[in-house]
Amino acid sequence: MAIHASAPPHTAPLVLPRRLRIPRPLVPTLSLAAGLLLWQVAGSVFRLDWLPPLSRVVADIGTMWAQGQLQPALSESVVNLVIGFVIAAVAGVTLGTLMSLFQKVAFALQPYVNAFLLAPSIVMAPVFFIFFGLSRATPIAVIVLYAVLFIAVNTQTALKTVDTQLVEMARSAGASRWQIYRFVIVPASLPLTMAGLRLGMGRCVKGMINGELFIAVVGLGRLDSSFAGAFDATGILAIMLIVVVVAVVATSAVQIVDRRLNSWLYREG
Amino acid sequence: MAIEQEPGIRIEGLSKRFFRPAADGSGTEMLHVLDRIELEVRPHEFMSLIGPSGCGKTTLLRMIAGLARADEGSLRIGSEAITGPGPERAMVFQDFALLPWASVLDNVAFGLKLRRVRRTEREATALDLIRAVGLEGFEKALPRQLSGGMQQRVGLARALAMDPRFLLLDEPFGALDEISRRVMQDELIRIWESDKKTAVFVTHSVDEAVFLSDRIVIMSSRPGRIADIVEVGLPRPRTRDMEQDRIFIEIRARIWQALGL
Repeated sequence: MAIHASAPPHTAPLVLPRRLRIPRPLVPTLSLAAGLLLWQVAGSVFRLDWLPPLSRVVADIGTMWAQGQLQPALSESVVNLVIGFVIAAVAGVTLGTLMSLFQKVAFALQPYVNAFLLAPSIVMAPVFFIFFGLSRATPIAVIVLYAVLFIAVNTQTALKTVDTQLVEMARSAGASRWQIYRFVIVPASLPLTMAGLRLGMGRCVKGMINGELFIAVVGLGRLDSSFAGAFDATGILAIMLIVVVVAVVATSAVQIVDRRLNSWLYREG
Repeated sequence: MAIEQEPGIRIEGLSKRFFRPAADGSGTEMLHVLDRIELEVRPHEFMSLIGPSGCGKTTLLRMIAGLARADEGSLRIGSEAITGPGPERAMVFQDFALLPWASVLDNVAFGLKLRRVRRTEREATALDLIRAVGLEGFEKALPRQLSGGMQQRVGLARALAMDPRFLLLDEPFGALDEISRRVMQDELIRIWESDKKTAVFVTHSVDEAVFLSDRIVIMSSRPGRIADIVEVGLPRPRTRDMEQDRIFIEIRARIWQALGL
């Protein structure tokens, strides 16, 4: 393994004076802590209606939890998120695989794929509402639409960029078409596919909250719209914090699967 | 090992053309890569193909491997035409072509896994070959943890694990630095001389070809033709002091002459 003795100076990160140097892994945590502290201080000093201090928002979450207001909304949202993500992942990976297998078809479908990728998926929410009504299927459909093509395009790229030399090597060693898929193309494309799924999960969270805000009768979205109606900034920020936590936990879950499936990438050395 | 009647490879009237977009943008241009090649690879010989870039030597090797098709002419092993890859042929690639997610052991056992050889059996074979190429202790390492020379040892062990009759090597040391290259030449010739599988070796290096080969096929550039075939009359086992040998020096001079340089 070639180890570069030193990075060229112009690409080196900002070098702090020695006494200010902070261990790298701590930097994001410290920056987050500083932001939260700033929020707390600004909130308690300026006493603005739209900026309650962090402590009050956290206390609000506690109250909502104690009153049993939060749990049903949260579980409703999270269940929708999980179902929506699973559907989007399975459909997206399947679609992406088909698009890589049948390139002419994929090429013909490209304008549609692009149109749906670029248009804000939420515009489809009323259509789903007409279709599925007030059932759980409406927010789930929104979640799926937010992520499915995104995951599909990532999977397609992952499969298309597999090193052709590896395929050639397997072919020369007598691999069948299926074996080439199973032993070369799938493992080789897995890191990019998983990256697509991780980002896809982020989009699912957006779909979750946007769908619920639109329908406004379920989950965290309903709570959020009711707080918005009452100009309750504390409640809105509380929901925002919860959504952020849900997003972080959900993406970490995908990341754990990724680290397991692609463990060779994360091995040291 | 069956000695008598073991077939070599017969290549007759082999031509290959490629089409590619013309450099000046005026439609496509045709590249005549190989032009009516006649060649016989004898059983148990070490044959090198040498020539300038674009002379079609790699294309010829890929056709022997069954990875590319001829436009005209035929390639046969004995009486059987080559129509695709086969278990009697194994290839070593210039850029190693190792599976980056698989350990050295799994990479070496890969061909056997494709043949559905049982795990314990294929790992035993792989371990033998890992030892033979001097990688003992690196069984669990990933390719990226190895140097180029070590990676190509894995590539060589993988090909040998399939126990082929023909070893096809496509500039296997072309990506290595000169020192690793020399070490790998010694290693290859030591392993090759122990059982003399018929070898076809593509190279850019004249000295490498002379040191390793029984015969050297010199090719000329587009259309690729055979310019000369040189028998290397050096005894085996080959040793480095033979590089000072008069025969070695004469053959080297003759190859450069055939290459027109």
